[in-house]
Amino acid sequence: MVIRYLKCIVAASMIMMISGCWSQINFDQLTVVSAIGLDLDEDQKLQVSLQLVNPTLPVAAGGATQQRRAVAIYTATGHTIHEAIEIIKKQSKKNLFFSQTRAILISEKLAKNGLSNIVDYFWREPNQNFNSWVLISNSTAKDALSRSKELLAVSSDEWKAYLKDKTNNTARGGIELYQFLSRLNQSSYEAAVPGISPFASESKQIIMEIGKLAVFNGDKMSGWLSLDESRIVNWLSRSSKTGVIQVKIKNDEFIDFDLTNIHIKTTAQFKNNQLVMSILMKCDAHIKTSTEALDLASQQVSHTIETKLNQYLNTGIKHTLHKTFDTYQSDAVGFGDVVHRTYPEKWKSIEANWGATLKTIELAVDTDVRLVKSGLLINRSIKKDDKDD
Amino acid sequence: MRNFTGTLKAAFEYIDQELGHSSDLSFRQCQIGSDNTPALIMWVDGLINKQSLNNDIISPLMSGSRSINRVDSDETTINFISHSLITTTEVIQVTSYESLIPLLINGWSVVIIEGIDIMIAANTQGLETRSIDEPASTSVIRGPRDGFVESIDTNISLIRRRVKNKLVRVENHWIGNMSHTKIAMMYIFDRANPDTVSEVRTRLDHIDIDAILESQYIEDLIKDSPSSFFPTVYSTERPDDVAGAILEGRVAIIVDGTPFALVLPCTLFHLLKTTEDLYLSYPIATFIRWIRFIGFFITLLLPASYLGVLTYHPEMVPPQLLSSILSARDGVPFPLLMETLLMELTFEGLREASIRMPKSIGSAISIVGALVIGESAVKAGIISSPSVIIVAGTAIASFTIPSISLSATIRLLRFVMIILASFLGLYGIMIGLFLLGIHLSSIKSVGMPYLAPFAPFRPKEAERALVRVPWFTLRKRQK
Repeated sequence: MVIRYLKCIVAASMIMMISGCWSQINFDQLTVVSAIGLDLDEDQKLQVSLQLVNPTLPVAAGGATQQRRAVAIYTATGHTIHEAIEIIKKQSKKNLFFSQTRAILISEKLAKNGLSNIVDYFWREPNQNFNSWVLISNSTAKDALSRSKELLAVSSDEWKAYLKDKTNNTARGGIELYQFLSRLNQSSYEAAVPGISPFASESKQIIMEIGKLAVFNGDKMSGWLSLDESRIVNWLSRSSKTGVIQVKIKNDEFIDFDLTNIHIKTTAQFKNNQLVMSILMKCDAHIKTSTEALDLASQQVSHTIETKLNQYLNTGIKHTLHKTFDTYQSDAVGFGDVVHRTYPEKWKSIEANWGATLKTIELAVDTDVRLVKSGLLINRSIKKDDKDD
Repeated sequence: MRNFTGTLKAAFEYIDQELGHSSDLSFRQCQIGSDNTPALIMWVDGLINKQSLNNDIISPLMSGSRSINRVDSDETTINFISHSLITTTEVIQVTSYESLIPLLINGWSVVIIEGIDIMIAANTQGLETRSIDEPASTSVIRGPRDGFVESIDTNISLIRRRVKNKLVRVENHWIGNMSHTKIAMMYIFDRANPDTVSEVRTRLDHIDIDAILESQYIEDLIKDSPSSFFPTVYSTERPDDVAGAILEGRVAIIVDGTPFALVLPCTLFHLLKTTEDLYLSYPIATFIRWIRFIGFFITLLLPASYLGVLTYHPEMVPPQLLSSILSARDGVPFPLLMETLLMELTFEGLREASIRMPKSIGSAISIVGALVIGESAVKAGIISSPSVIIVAGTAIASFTIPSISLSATIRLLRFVMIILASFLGLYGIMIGLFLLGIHLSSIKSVGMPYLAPFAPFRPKEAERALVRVPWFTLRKRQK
């Protein structure tokens, strides 16, 4: 009996020991990679920059007085990402921990050159964060990582927090790695990635702006959209449901609107073999600022405002779609998916030629904006009661 | 067997010799009856109540025995004395030394009359007992404050006064070849399962041991799967707890000499309930009961998951938390496993020390514990603050488990979990939980599965185990 128990214990402990702490991580050598930057250097070689977090105590725990740099940037070049990372591992002498990467920065130059050679790394490597946010950097990614100035010590923390924040009306919809990777191979819904560009530089540091979208055609970046166009693409691709816009009502008369509850309905229809995409946009608008006095009590005025706003959005959407479809030949809003869903049979024949078909699409845009909150009800400021006093 | 001859001298010498000339054997000689027959009253000091001896035996014998006449037969005399003179609650007529000696050492007094071969034994038992106090091991905010004492009779009376019903049964057993400890089985005739009662009875009858000094002796001897770490017998110091248990149809065992009573059968969920659950309003009681369930798992798993997650799956930790743990661990000399084990062992040491410490210097322990471990060690960079938080969290959770024995078991198994997590991470913890589940579902307590009412599943009882069902709904259900 005793021997039997002994055998059991030996067997059980062998099962444990044989595994040899499989996949154990040396926690004390762990260094979090907060951002990966991908560049193309002068020799057309891939340059990888890693932003490593040097953990500091949170400010709440008295970390504000700690005198140590919050991040360290390591850069290496190679033919593949993997090769470069191996070199960086030798430089940093640490276990690089990719599972909590916040952002992946791809330089515009590299993106325009095509990403097909490098995405393989992201598909294969299991230890990485598919939820990291992808950004296209206007300048080099290394520059953006090392010189960007943000309120948080680790700049990529700030970018992630901004892109993730659903309560921020200004925030433009971001794209996460898992969406980005699959859209690179998908003609029916192509990638549109927020860009990060230097806005102003102060001595060594740069203030970065996230706003414009970079539109992809397949695995190559085709070009930038303006801020207004980017906003509309974000609405149409449903990555953002709010927005702040400025509409010119008359000469020198501007009204700022806060748009909320934006709902987009896209339907595809074939009319005489001509693909018609109809887009219905519904949203609530709140007046934030007006440069002129508005008499909202008058129905005519509010009607005018609504009409102007509708017109503005209508032309904006049409313009943006034409730009992405015609100039960039990119389906960044996922119309291909809509057609695929509606006409699964027909899609098979269109799919191969979708890029060309995009240009021929007939757009029917309809917007329905409701003016909900107007801010002040009385004209600008109180006048009548003042006189009584 | 009659071996008593009726000679006073021989009787005294025999008894004195049997007790090894023990100095606490006391006696008083007197003369009774009209013809001044010598008589001897014997007792063992300290076991009897002297007042009762005086009032109930000595003084009636002296003053009331005038009417005894030697002409009467021995039987008449003995009957007169035992039935009409001695006023103790119990009187037995004994004819042999063999049956006399056990009575003597149980606190009875013996009256021997010259020339009569029958002895009279009267119950004058009177042991010094502690007064009824609030139980130290389980305190409640609302609920009765009385606890069991070391006297079995007092303890039985404490239960009896709560359940005043003719169906309450008390069965006495004497266990212990040397100690002859009195043990009482209590149950309610109609409610307790007859199989359970007879099973407990046979188990008690089969006990063969030298002495019983505490109910733990009995618990070890009668419990199912004795090799299991888990308690399958419920022990409590509270009479209301026992009263509640026998009302539920369970069997209680009360042992003389200890304030801890045993209750059978006992499942895991009995150990996670307290009597106070029934005294608080039902939403609060349910909430507290859930806190206790969570506490059970936190005690078992918190340090293991901390270790497992950090050494195998750090990606699971939210980035900010990971960053702050990393910075807190910066420069700590011990690896995570060592640190966690060290801290957990320190806590166990502190806990043991604070129990053993005399109360007057007990506060020293909390100062040492809080200041040295909590402050200085972290500041000196010997241990990291997250592991102090983990140990503190585990400690708080372990105190929410009402049963001391279950809490100790879980605290012990926590170390097994830590080792498993250090080998295999969360996978190891899952293996540990599976093994624990297999073990728990395989053990029983006097025929009741340990995980009842969940495995086997009985919906209504399961509901009552999870939720403290208000009394008014119970009444409706019975109608």
